[in-house]
Amino acid sequence: MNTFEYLRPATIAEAVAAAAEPGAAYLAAGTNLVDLMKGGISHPTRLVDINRLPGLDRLEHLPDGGVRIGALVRNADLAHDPVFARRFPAIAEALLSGASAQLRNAATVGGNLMQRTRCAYFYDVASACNKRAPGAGCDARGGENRLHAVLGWSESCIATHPSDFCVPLVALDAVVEIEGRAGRREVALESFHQLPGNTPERDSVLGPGELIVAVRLPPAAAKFAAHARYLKVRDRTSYAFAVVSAAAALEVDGGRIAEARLALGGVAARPWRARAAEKVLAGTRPEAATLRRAAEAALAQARPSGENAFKIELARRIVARALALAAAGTPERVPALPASPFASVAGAAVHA
Amino acid sequence: MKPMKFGIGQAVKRVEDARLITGHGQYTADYLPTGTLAAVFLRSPHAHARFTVSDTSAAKSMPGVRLIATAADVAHLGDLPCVAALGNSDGSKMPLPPYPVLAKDEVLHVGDAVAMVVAETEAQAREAADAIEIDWEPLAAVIEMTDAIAPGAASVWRQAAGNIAYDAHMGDKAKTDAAFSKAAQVVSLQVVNNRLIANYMEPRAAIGEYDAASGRYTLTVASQGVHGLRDILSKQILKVPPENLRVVTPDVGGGFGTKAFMYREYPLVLDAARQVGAPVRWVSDRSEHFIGDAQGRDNLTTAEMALDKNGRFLAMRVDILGNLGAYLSQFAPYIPWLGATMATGTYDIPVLHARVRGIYTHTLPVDAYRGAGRPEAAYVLERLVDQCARQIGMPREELRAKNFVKSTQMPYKTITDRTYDVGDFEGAMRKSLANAGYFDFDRRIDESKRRGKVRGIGFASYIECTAWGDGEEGSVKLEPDGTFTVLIGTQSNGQGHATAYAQVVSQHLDVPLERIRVIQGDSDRIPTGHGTGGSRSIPIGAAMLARASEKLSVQLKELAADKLEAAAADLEIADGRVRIAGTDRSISFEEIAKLPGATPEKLKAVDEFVPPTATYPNGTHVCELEIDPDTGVTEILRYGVCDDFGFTLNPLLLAGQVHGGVAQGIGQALYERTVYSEDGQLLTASFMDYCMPRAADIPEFHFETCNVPSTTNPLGLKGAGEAGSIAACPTVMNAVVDALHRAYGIDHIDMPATPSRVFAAVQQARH
Repeated sequence: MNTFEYLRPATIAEAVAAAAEPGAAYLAAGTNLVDLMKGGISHPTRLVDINRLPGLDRLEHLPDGGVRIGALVRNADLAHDPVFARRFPAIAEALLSGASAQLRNAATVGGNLMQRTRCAYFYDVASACNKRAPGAGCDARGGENRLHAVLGWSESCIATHPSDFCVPLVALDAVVEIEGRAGRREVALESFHQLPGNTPERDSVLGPGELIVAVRLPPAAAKFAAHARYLKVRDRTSYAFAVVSAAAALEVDGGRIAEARLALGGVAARPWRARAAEKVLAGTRPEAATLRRAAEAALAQARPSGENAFKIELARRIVARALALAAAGTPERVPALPASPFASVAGAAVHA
Repeated sequence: MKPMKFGIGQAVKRVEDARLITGHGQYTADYLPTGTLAAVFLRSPHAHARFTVSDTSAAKSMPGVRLIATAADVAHLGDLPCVAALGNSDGSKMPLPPYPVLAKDEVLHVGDAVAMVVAETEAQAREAADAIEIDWEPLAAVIEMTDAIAPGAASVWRQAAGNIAYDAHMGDKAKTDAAFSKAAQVVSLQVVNNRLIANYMEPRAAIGEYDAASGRYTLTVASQGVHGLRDILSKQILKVPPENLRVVTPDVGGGFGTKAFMYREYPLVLDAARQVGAPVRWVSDRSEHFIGDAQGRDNLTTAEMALDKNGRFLAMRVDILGNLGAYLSQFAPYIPWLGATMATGTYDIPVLHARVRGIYTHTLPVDAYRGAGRPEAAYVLERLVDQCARQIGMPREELRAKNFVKSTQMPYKTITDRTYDVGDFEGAMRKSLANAGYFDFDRRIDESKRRGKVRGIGFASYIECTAWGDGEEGSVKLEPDGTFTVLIGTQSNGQGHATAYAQVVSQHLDVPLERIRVIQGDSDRIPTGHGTGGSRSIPIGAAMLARASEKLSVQLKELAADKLEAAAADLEIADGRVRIAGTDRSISFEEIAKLPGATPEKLKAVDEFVPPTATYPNGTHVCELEIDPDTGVTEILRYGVCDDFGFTLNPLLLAGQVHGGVAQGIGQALYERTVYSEDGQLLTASFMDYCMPRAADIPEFHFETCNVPSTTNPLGLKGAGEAGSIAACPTVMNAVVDALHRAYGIDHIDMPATPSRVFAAVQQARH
């Protein structure tokens, strides 16, 4: 039987103090943490329930044109906010392609950033896993690793970050607002998640007791609204994590790409910003050969971590397709199964 | 047959649905007598291990715990029987290793039940099960069939050398060899029929009760028929007289064959109820379901066809390896054999030799699952016929037409000793192909190409056998309030028996369906029954009820004749009354029930129907699909069905059976696969890893019938419950292979054709 202390602080300051103790963990929707506890992967001795903290569930469109998303905003509420979805369609599309309707109704913005990898060896307590038990080894290296990382992995860990939501956020330069004992600090989301190196047990830059209070998008993130897509390939149509995904956002001016943003999901321990590919695209026309060149650039550093070489070529194709879809324009409606590769007509809301 | 408003042939909506979809269904787990205790099972984490239960004392003293049973505590219970032993080709009988109610000393698969814990709450029982100390000594496990029969493999049973449960032969080997040696062309193929997990919506559940005063047991259980379970429990496991045992089955949320068998939990909850003096209830959750219920399919088949220079089939050779798992489930050995008896399908193949081997592995038992052997056979044959067409360069439809058993050959006796009474296989194929726009396909393929997709079309002409063996006895009775009660020993699992059977009664007694109650699932109320399975409930059950209803209508007319002072021959039944034809003089059923002469015998008709032989539904399904070569994803665009079910009792219910069956076949063809690790862990043990088809994966169906009435029953019916799942796998896979062959020259891919497999095949072909 798991026993743990349960606290429900009334203020952020109390929460931060309570969670700074060793063995403490924040509880929001619990869609990942509770599973981890049931499976014996996580054993927090203290749960600090932040669901009732005031002010964290607000979505604010800022005067400068940016947007600030409270850490407790639920995925479904964000995706279905009409103004937000219109300004940041690829983010809404990514949110709706994750999990199930029930989970999206519960899961939070902060929790999405904090979710753990879905590497099966991490979840199987009988397997060796450096992320779960530092120094234990990595059974994924010689095991079933079809879905593992092809970028940024190390000998000690080849797990991927499973988020859909974070992929367009990284592409659009999102910033994480963090509250800690020393006060507030901000970290670019691109640097928030850590590559495994020799310390795969550390998923993020958060220190003890630090709490995500909001995610902010800069004003420039909205300029891609007319040409932004999130494309996710998975082994089945819904309720599955990405084998590979891509967020593509383009600013198109007179048939040319003025600025491009590109990030990949399911390929590394962090959502992977592909700046080299963005450079290839800048100033070009979105033609098939150019998109393919950008895709090659995005995966230039990729190498298989096991039986997953196919993911590299698959990722190139998905990048090219996501860029083509983005170039074709954001669809009128975000499909119910967004930008599914099952969609037979590019860009149409066939599943809506 | 005269069309009646609610009678046979009408598209009547299901009378069950208002109740079921508004949450008023009563399933086994909804039955909760006062004071019910919870049972949970401690199951093996190892595929193969020796074990000793070193200490249960801590568990026994935990709060709420009432009983802990291990093998030693249930030695008085008999083993689970296998009722389908086969003969080996050398004339010997296959040995039947024991399938005890709890594993003793050695476990043989992950999920093998080791102990039962009964406590006041399920949480307490789980806590106590966790506290039982067991010393495990893991042993070498053998998982894949090809490994199991290799020299030096770990052994599942001493009785079965080389892990071969049986080695049975069918047909004439010498003649077959001779035919092959003379053949102009030989085409061969090896295919996998992937192992499936039957994911009914309602997991299994059972509640045991014992009345010490009378010595009677009552088992409430989600099953496919109560009488078979009662008889096995009584004779072979509990060893009590059948009258001391009542088995009840309320609403059931899907069975697909897999709920038909005796399972360990049933005798154990009954025995526990007796020991603790309270009702004991076990309800499987979805996780336990994956490691607690028999699985389906899992064949590896090599098939060869010998053809003459004109494409006529001369002979066929089939070698089936059927994975039986670790224990012999109730019907397990028979399933691959049943498939072999349908090996030649719709074709006139004069010579055959089939070898069927049942193989033990350290995996869950495998038994009947929707189609049970027949989907496996149809898949092998229809893939092989397509391969023949490709190899000899003849259009698929022409090769089939050339080799079909012709309707003029009926009745036709197959080389496997089955007699098809009727059927028009070529007619069904031509109609189905025309419906599908088969001959315009080339125009559509270019349109796909422009979108970067690869398009394919495929079809399968299948035949299967249903409704063989035991008959069914039942009764129709007029109640004092003018309603009718039907008692029948088949068991609805959601198919809509209450509607279909009431339609048969309404045909003869002309009453609205809501005045007819269909009672199933109670061995105390229904004297006999053989349950639901093999698509038998309508061809046998409806045929029986038609006779019983007609008999009752005659009895009621006789009663009315006295009262109306008319000859029975002048009476007719109309609008729920018995009337002197052509007059307004009539009497209601309620009044008849109250007549002085209306004895219980006259108000009730009992009849029986024993089928002389199986019925043979058949037809052709056509599938058109697109493959995305960038991702390997397959999308089904069109799916057309033209089936011969002999006679349609209710078009809505029939379409429902076909749609559901095809969906399951699509699941097997494209998504579902049961995967064990090398050491026997079930890797696909939840819906995260075991991929069921979803609504978005299933296309709109075009469904029509091309019925040729069966001669085996008075209504001309053929069973329809399994046909969809039998035809769909070869149909979908022939379309997948067609697409891959046209684009890349690929002529083989195994089920399930998942995106990753298709992706890999395309990558390989491109290089």
